[in-house]
Amino acid sequence: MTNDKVNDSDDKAKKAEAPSASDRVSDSGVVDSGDKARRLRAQLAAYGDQDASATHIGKSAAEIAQLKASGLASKFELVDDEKSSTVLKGSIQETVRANLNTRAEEPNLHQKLSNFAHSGEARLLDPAGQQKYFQGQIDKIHGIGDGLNLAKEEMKDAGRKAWEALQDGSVAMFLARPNAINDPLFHAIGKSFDAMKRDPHTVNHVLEHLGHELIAANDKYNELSEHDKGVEIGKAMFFFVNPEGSTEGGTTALKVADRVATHVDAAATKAIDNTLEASSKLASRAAESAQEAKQFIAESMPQGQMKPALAGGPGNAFEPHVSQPKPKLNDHSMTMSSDGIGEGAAGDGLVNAGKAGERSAGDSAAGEALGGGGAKGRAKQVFYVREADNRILKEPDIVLFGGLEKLENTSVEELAERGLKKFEMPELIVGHDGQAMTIRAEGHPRVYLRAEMKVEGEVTITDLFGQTLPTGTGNFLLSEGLRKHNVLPSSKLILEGVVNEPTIQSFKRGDSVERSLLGKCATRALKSLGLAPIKYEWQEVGDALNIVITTGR
Amino acid sequence: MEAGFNDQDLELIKSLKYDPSLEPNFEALKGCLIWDDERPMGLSSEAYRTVSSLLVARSLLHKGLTLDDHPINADYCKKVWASAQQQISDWPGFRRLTLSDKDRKYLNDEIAASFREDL
Repeated sequence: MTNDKVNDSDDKAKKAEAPSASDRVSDSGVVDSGDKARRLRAQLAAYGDQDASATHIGKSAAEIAQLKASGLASKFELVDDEKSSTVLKGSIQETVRANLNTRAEEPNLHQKLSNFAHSGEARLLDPAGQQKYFQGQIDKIHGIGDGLNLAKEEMKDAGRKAWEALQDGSVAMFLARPNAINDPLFHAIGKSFDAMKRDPHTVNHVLEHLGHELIAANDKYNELSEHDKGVEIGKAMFFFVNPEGSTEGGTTALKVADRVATHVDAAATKAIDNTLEASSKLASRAAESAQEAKQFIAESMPQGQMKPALAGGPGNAFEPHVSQPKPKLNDHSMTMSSDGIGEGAAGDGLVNAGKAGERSAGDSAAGEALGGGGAKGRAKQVFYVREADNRILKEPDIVLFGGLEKLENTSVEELAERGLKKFEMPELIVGHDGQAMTIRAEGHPRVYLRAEMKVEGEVTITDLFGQTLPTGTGNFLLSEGLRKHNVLPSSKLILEGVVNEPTIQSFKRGDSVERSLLGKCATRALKSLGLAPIKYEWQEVGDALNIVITTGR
Repeated sequence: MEAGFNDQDLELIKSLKYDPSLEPNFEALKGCLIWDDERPMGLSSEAYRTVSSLLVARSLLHKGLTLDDHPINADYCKKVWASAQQQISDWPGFRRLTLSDKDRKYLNDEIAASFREDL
């Protein structure tokens, strides 16, 4: 796409979006139909440059000229619509308009994924579009700067999710398995990943390019912490492939891609290739496509002699809106895993072996359960575990195996044939070593957790042994152990003396605590206890690191 | 620099008996091996942290490194080590500065596994 075409597209978009009577057009050309745009307009006016876009905020005439000469300062406007997030005006405006026009009938998941995929593909293969996008992001960074709170919270959330997708390996996982790109699920969700397949480095190039653009364009970016830089890049990356301004389609697509890549091995891919005709029919149907695709794969396994890949994946869960069999959890276990289902906590694949009537009185709210000795009556927890790597199944895995109900009705022998086994969480035995609380697991002599509480509400974990329990149960051990001790880290949870290699590497890379393995585990445990992590900190104490999580309800 | 042991801590540590038949266990926070005869119950918090420092320092030796390779604070680590060697020279942990092949494999396997996606 040439610049002329871009401009032409802009003109068309402008014509198509002639402001309504309630809209206002500022001197700077900002279509204003909402508070966010009004704030932007006010800021532009404050700078006194009525001809400038947000790109030019805070720049001298010479700097603007220099930016223009380098192609970085073409005018790019922010358009606001009350019904949607602030979007970048240009070719993608048409996409967004199209979505707005059909908003009365909410697009189903398949449509969202398709939109995402088509837009992503077009952008990846369209350098002019990329430049336009970058310029839009630069504008956005400037626009956000100096207290202009434009779309801030929404952007933050999008950035977090996008950055997580990059960090947790979703993207890398998918790129590392090119065979999976040909499977029917990718056909079902679109072709954007195919574009990436043709240039596996596209994503990196985009990030790199965007990073350079951001650095060159905005001095403030250089002053950000590494984490915040990552957030900005992740945010921009996400919006690059997600023109809707919504995280839903993108995150779902990445996760769908990840699950397929993780759970379908080469044999599976080959078998699926042989059924492309059937799968294309599947893809041509709208509505329930994602769920059907998963079901298709699950059902194809025995027919195609496929088996789930044994390599572990990032462990993402599908979005809650994806139609799928939900575990039959009673109130008790919902308390245990209310956050886990969406977040990949130990409770993801958790089945409560007990009955609702066995609940203790305090169990209806995890946080409140502690006062009443609520741990006593807790029913045993059952997980399904992949024998190959001794890792509990999370909800997406369970879906691939036909759903929880199916697993519950599967005999031990049949489970074994599928490489699975049931795992009942052992009884936790609480004790005290004179200075601290201890937690052991019946039948697992190596499992041991030690915690101190010198100040009410501040719990310090000093030791964590647990390697004989299945992977994924660590947060459960932590939360249940504290629950059994009737201890709640209501103000702080501290992991003390952390010197393990993965954490040290995270720390030295400048990762945020919450992205570290221990940070994630602790977060899930806190959520299981009904607490919210408010602040994460690394603390260097003596010759070790402490992970300090300030908590609240 | 004193290693942070009070009289009771010293008594507790000196009461420890080295047991060569014990198997090590891998502690996930510190990423090191620990044997059951190396930490008595009832240590003060400060002493407990000091012993933890010693365990981490020793794990460097187990990995074929030196105390100078401590990832956070090598000076602190060396001072604690030197002080402890004077104060609690009979600590059983000092008798396990090298690993058997079996224990080395166990340590390496656990470290490799610690890079997994979840605990």
